[in-house]
Parts: sequence; structure tokens; C-alpha cells
Amino acid sequence: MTDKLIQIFADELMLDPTDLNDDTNPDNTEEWDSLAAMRLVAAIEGAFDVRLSTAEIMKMRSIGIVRTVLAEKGVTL
Amino acid sequence: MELADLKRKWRALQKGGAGATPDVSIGVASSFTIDPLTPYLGAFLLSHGYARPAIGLADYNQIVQSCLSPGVAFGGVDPDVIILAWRLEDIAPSHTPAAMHEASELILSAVDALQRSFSGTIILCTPPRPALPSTRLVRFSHPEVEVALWHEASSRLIETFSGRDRMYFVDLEELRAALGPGAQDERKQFLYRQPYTEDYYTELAQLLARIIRARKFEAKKCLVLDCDNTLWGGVIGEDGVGGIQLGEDFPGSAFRRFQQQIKSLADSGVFIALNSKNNPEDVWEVFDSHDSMVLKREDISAAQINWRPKSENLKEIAATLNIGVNSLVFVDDNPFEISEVSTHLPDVQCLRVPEELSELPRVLRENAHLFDRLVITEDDLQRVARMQGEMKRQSLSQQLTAEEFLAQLGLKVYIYEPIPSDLARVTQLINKTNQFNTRTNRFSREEIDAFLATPGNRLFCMSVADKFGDYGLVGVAMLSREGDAYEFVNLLMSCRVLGRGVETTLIAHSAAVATQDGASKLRGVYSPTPKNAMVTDLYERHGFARATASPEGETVWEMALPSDLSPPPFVQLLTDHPA
Repeated sequence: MTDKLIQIFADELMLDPTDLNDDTNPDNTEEWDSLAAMRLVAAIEGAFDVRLSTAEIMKMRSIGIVRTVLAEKGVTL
Repeated sequence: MELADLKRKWRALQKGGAGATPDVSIGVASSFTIDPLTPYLGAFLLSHGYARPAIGLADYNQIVQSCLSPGVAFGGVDPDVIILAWRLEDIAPSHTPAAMHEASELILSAVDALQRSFSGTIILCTPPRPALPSTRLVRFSHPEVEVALWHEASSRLIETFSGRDRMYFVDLEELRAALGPGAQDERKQFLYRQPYTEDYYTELAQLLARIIRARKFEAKKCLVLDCDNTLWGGVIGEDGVGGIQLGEDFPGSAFRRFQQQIKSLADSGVFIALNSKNNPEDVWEVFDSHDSMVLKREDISAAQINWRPKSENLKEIAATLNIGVNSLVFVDDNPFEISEVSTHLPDVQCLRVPEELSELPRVLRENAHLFDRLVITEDDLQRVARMQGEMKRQSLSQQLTAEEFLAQLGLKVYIYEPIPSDLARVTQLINKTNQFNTRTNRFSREEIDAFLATPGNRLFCMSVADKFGDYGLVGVAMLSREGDAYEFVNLLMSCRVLGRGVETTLIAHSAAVATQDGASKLRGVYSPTPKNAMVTDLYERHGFARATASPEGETVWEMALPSDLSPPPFVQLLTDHPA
């Protein structure tokens, strides 16, 4: 499944979208370091026109959680 | 290509890993986390035509070490360009004035060492003003000590390094101020110790990429404009001066803004020319009598207003300005005209007026880098004024014989030894003159300094003025002494003063000085290149005898001193500095 969110992660982490799913997280993905996290925040905010709080940013420790956070903010994916 | 696509392309290139040799290599050393810059810088370099840029980052806060060992600092990248960025508050974490002062002095000497050892380009970012804790009570009686230190550090930096060869500046404070609150992101500062927004890195990357690009690409010299629906809305031949759209209200305001952009290019030394299918009287009437015209007749250096194909007109414009057609940028609203030009003159860069007129000012903003020159000399700034003089000069030359014409010009030729502020122009002339150049010996700024420091060597600058204007510094003669002979190491001149006997003046004066210094011979060498045929017989014409010739076509010429060579009667020779 290559949805918009997965594509963003694939771009920013420089990985193949087929290697990514909602369980992808910083612990099982070497590329997801703090610099990547910073780029991801910028890319997600840009793509979905939202602004994330520091609490939300700190909570986003898997693609699935990011999806939930965005859904809570009323973003339809 | 959009920025997002370019970033994707850049990332794909990174993923491809090591392979082909990069076509440009950039090393970045910074006192703060600058990693977010990389994809933007990579993307802009790709958009400027680099195929395989490489960017290496030095470890966090390793500026001094990077300056001292640039070969190893950038993670395997052997840089052509080194970018240095720091903030005063990072390099001295204790924030005491003494520590900040000492740290900034340390960086200064490290950069100085780098500039002496490194043969590539250095882009030095001047530091942003340090952020002060906002809760501290403000003292109005005198500036905060950190701010005072920042002023001192910035001005020391600029004093020390401005004008050095291959060294360019980006002002981080100006960038931050331009973006205002959009420059910083408190969340990132707290979460990642990285204060700036993506917008900030985008702008910074764009500036850096422009500098990197300008090292390699020759700047465009002339912006050629269509008139109807390009400089104003509507068709002058049908709508009349009162009917065209230009002024305070849209869409006239978009054209006015566009003209303001053009005017500012003209003020920095870009030629502005017109290429329009119209009656000339109609177009000039707009220039002379429309209240909202920002551009005036005197801003236009060349004009072709007629019904001929636009590509023909462009060739004519290039010839008038004595530049190549590849130095032209052409703007038109009509896709037919653009394709006619692109077909016949593929070297002319064409820009099209967008259908959505609010986007018109963006066209020039996004292409301003085409005109980038790394060093803007005094000469560049006077170029436009000089061309207007040239137009008048040409109209006078049509009425007189050549001798009468020259006598009327009131030519003044200044020949003098350079003062430091002349040397940027001297370097430029030595390195870009192709046609009137006897040996085409290129010298870097350092090599010129070394030449001047060598006893027995002489370097003369030549500036020319006439009653229509000032041509600026247009000629250079470099002489070295060998026994009883002086030899021209270089003898070159800009083509814009051809045919006025000024070269005779330069050679005659060199001969006179050599005689004064006790030399008994003046020697000249002609080394042929594909472009300098016009000086094949220069020495012969001035009474030199051929001494030797090599199979490569190089010829050596000698003249016994003292000689009776003298400046032409219509030239006034002055040996003081023209300033």
C-alpha cells in the first residue's frame, strides 16, 4: 500500500515504500534518526497543511501513530 | 522542475551511492546543526545544471578543525567549495565576553589559514546577531555586550576577508531578518537544538547555490524585451499611449513592478534592450510621455523596433553591444516569437510572459541568477552609462572622416601604476580579454600580487575617457626586466576602445619608461590563439622587428630604445591616476 503518508516517509527516509508499513518505527528503522525526524515533521506539516505541537511530535514513534495523530487533527488520508 | 521533485531527484542520487565522480563537491562546516540544508542545496544545484553534486558535512561544531584540514573534514568529500557558517553564541558556550572574543579571533585565524592553503572557493557566512534571553532587563544606556561583540566580530570578518580571491559572503543576519518570524522554529530548537525553519534553509540553499553556480557559468549581460504585452498591457499601435495598461491598478501594476525589476538590473550593470514589432515612434512616445513608465529612454542600451524576424534583431543587438548572442536573455509574451528565436538562436535564453500576469514579477525573480556575477566591479556599474555615450559617439562618427572624428573625441588616455582598488578590474581584464591580447597569459589575483612584489617588474593600467564618457580601466601592460631588455609579459586591451590609437599610446609610454629605466631593448611576444588574430601584426605596426619565430606560431619582436614611437596627435596622455 503506497498512500501519501507512506510516500512521505519513503522520500524522507530514502527507503522503498514497500519496505514501510504502520509498524515502521525508529527502533526498527536505522534511517529514522533525529535528523530524519526533523525532516519528517517539516514534510508532514507541508503535505497536510497542519501544525504539530511538540507533544504530538514527541509521541510520533511509528507510522501508525502518525496516522492516528493526523486523523485526530481531522486529516483524511 | 518543482523544488519537491528536485529534492526527490537529489535523494535518489544519494541512494545510488558512490559511483561516478561528482561534478561539484561542497564541504559544509557549521557551529549549529545544518543537516537540513543538504537536500535543498542538492536540489538547487541540480536545478542549475549540475548532474552529480556531492555535499559533505563536517562534524558538528568543527569549524576550526575543518579549516585546518579541509582534505579530511568533510566525510570523504574532497571539496571544490567550502561553506562556513557559525553563530557567536555556539562557539563560546560560556557566553562570557572574553570567551566570545577569543573564539571569534580563533575562527578568524583558521579561516585565514584556510584561504591561504585551499585552492577552491570559500563561502563565508557572517554570523547572525546572537539571541539574548528575552527576560533580561533591557539596558537602554548602552548596547548589550553580546551585541557589541557581534558587531565587532562581523566587521572584523568583513575587513579581513572582503576582496580576497575566491572568497564570497552570505549574511546570515540579513537572511534571518528578511524572513522575520518565519526564520525560526522554537519547537525545533527545543526538540533538536536546531533553530531554523525549512523556509530558512530553502533561502540559504538558494543563495549558496547561486554563488556556486556563478563560479562556473558566465553571466548573461543583456536583457532584451518585447514591448506590447511585456512592458505594458495592450498594443501601443492600436490602443495609443492613453490606452495601454501600466500604472497603479492591476494588470498595469504587474507591468510596473516588472519594469522596476528591470530597472534594478540595469542599475547593477545589465544592458537593457528592446526588440519589438512596432513603429519606433510609437514605442518611444510611451517611454517619453507615459507617466507610469519606470524605464526611460536612457535605460535602453540598444533597440530594434521594426518588422524583421526577432532572431535577426537579437543578432543586431548583440553586435551593437559587442557581446555574444549567448549573453542575451529575451522576454516575450508571444509563443510564436519565442519559438522563432529558439529555433534560429538556441543560445539565447528565452523567458515567456505568463498568462497569469500576477506571476510576471516571479519570472525575473526566479531567473535573476542568470545575471549573477561574483565580483561586481566599478566598471560593470558604469557600463550602461558608457553605452549611451557609445550611441552618441556612433552617430557622430557617421558625419566625419576618421581623423576628424578622433580629433573631435577629446581622447584622454591615463597610464599609471595600479592602486589596490584597481586590482579586481586588472585581474578581470587579464582573465577575460581574448581578442586584443598578445600572449593571453592568465594571472590570478595572488599571482598579480607576486608579480608586483618582484623587483624589476612593472604593471601599467590604462584608462580612457572622451567627451562622451568614461570607458574605465581598459588596458593592462605587464613588463619584466631581463638584463638590458624589457619584455611585455602581457599586453592587452578591451575591444571597446579599438581604433582610437590608444594601444599606440600604451606601447609608446611603455617604451619611454623602459628607456628611462636604462633599458636598451623592448621585446614583445605574440602567441596565437583562436581568438587573438587582431594583434598578429601589432608589434610590426609599431616598428618592432621580428627576432624569432617558433613552429607553434609564436613570434618574438624587438625594438631598440630609445625609439621615436609617440602617442597619436589626437590623444592626450596623462600619467596620473584618473581617480
